[in-house]
Amino acid sequence: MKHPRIAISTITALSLGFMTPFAAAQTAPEGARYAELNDAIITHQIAPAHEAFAIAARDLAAALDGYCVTETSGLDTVFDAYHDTYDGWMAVSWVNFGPQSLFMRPVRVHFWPDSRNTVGRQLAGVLNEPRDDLLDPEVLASASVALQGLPALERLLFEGDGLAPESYTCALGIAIAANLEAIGADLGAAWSDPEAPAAALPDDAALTVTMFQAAFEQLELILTRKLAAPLGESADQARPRLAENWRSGRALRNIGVNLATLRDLTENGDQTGFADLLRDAPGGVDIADRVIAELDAAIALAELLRDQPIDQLVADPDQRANLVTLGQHVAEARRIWADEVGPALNLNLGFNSLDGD
Amino acid sequence: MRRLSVTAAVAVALIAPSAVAQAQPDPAAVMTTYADIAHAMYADSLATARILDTAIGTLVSTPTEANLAAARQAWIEARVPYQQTEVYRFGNPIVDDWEGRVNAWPLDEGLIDYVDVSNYGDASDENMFYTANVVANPQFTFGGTTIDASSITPSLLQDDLHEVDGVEANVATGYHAIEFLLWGQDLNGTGPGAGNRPATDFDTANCTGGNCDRRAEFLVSASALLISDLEEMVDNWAEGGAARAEVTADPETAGPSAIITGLGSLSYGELAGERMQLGLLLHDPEEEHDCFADNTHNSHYYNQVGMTAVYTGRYVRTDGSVVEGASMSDLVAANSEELDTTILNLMSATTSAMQAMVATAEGGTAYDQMLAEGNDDGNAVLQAVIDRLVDQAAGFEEVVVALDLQIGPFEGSDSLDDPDAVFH
Repeated sequence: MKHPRIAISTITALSLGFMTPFAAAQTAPEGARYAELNDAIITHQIAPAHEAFAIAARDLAAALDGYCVTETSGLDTVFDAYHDTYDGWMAVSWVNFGPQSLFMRPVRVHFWPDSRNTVGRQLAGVLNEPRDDLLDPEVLASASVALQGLPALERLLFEGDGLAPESYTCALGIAIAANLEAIGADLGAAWSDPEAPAAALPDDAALTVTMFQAAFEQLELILTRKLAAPLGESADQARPRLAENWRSGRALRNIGVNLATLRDLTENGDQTGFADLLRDAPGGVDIADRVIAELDAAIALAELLRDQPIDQLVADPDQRANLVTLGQHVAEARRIWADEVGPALNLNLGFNSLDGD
Repeated sequence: MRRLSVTAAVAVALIAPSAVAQAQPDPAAVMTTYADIAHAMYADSLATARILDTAIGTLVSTPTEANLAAARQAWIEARVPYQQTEVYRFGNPIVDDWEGRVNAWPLDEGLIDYVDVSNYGDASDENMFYTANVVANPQFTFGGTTIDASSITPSLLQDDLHEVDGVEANVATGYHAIEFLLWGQDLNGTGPGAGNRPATDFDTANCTGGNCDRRAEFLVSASALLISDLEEMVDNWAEGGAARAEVTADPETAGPSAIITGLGSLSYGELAGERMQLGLLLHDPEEEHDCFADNTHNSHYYNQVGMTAVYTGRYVRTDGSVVEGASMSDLVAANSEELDTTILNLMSATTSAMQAMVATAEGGTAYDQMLAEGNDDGNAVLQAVIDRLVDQAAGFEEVVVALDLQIGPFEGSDSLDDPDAVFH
């Protein structure tokens, strides 16, 4: 029933990309500036990040095939490829528009949070009574999203007896990897074709709003689900199993990649980022500096804690304090994003997909 | 995840402020209608819950199959007005803070009573009380927490068991706890059939399932709590009530913003996303809102009926009488008749898709069959409802822009998910 909802007190003008006729003109960036930002982010961030994910997923499929069938690669190779694939996904997981809106691609790659243990329950059912039809990637692609993505593969790799070559478990792992390879290839191709990403993108300010809201929802997800939920209200009430990918020890690694990606959206060397538009707006230089500082501080902590198991992080007093500090930086970045960046650039947040129970 | 594509939404042309507009209605009158309809809806919910309570009393004193069937029917009828009230949940913190007591979902029903573990599983990563089975256990200890459940009172359910250990799936009160006690688990997966608990589960003389006295006690206490909780909400919307005071305090901005937030958030994140799209993506009957009774099609449909009532300012009560007055629709039309027509058309399209879903269910393919893997026709019926709800939410976002309203601010929750509890 209750999940966090968002305190946004500044929504006034723009939602789903419609400019209000009066409020906009005085300080808002010109339409061309929005287009320049959109192009920079798609060309220099979204497209190459999807290419990297597609390559990692392809290598993962090859590694699993090498381990399970031809027995030419070891389990270490599989684990490395698994982590590379997840790193690749975490760098694109903020994107929820364009080609992502077709075929339920994001949730098929990474169904999480899984508050009802659906992955565990459905996977146990399939492993107890093996379904050979699911070994066909095309069948798997239309089966439950809980069975066809990285969280299911994580359980196959890191739970129970692990993978034995030539087992049903191994064969299912191969099918999952093939499914991921196909989704990765489709997404990579769709984002690399500047003429026609498969799903039509909105124009100019509307696309900037979409990106702005997607980045906000990513901050919200990091804060509430990836950090606050496992932390609980005290060390005694910590719930490390609510952390993301705790089975493969990736909870903080995911957060680090997510935050680094958001930082790149804000400022990315010579390429236009949100900070460049901010610096042209009144008071915007300070806003840009502060949001970048918060993200940098959060990224440094995520890196520091990256290889510590989450169950120790939430229970150890010093490490727990570090996690809380990390969360405070994310919370402040989120607040600045909603309350200051948005108004300065005349971008506003609409109904939130994270609203539900 | 759980994201609904904004780009999938219909693009509706932005209407210039100078478009043809009706006379401006009195905003205070709009908010009065909104509060009057809330009061009537909650009063109808309370009245039908009292009928359910009487039926439950009859069932536990005379546990026959006929009396069980009558109690189930009373539950289904009680859901009709309640589901219409859900449009008040988002945007009204008083309602949202209270809602978890009456309609918490989904639930780990093994907390309450026996379950078939081959279907349900015997443990959960997230919930120590997954199979606590209060009906069978007068006292139990988990992780240092000891609970004395020797007497299953309303206060035990509300204060000790509900959300025990901070886990929201530990649901001990409200419609869905009662639903589970009346129907039992639906063990048919995505095949035909609902829960099939026998009436003898409440028969102390000829008891099945064990602990029939305690099961009856649980049911009676949950029903009593439902009534007291609904009484509280009726009072909140009566003359002088706190919820009425909040929405009528600022009829220019905060009031209409609460209305539109309720409409948009229920359409989008909650109903289209959490209650519908997720279950379809997982093809999982555990993700069905009224999963024990197979009443999900009605629950979703009456959400939409309630949204329409609030937008148009016209609510048909359970006795057939009508509460109506100045409406959100009038406010929008005063700004742009074209936008109002657009919204009404979007809502009508959603209602039609919902009716197709209800007809499919009544034609013998229940909601949990519609969402099954491989049932392409059933999947399409549900997807159509989801898509129309997303379109409808996009329309409400346009109202936010046109009337210069605010979405939210939403109340923070008091659960462990609340970042403020941890980070401030």
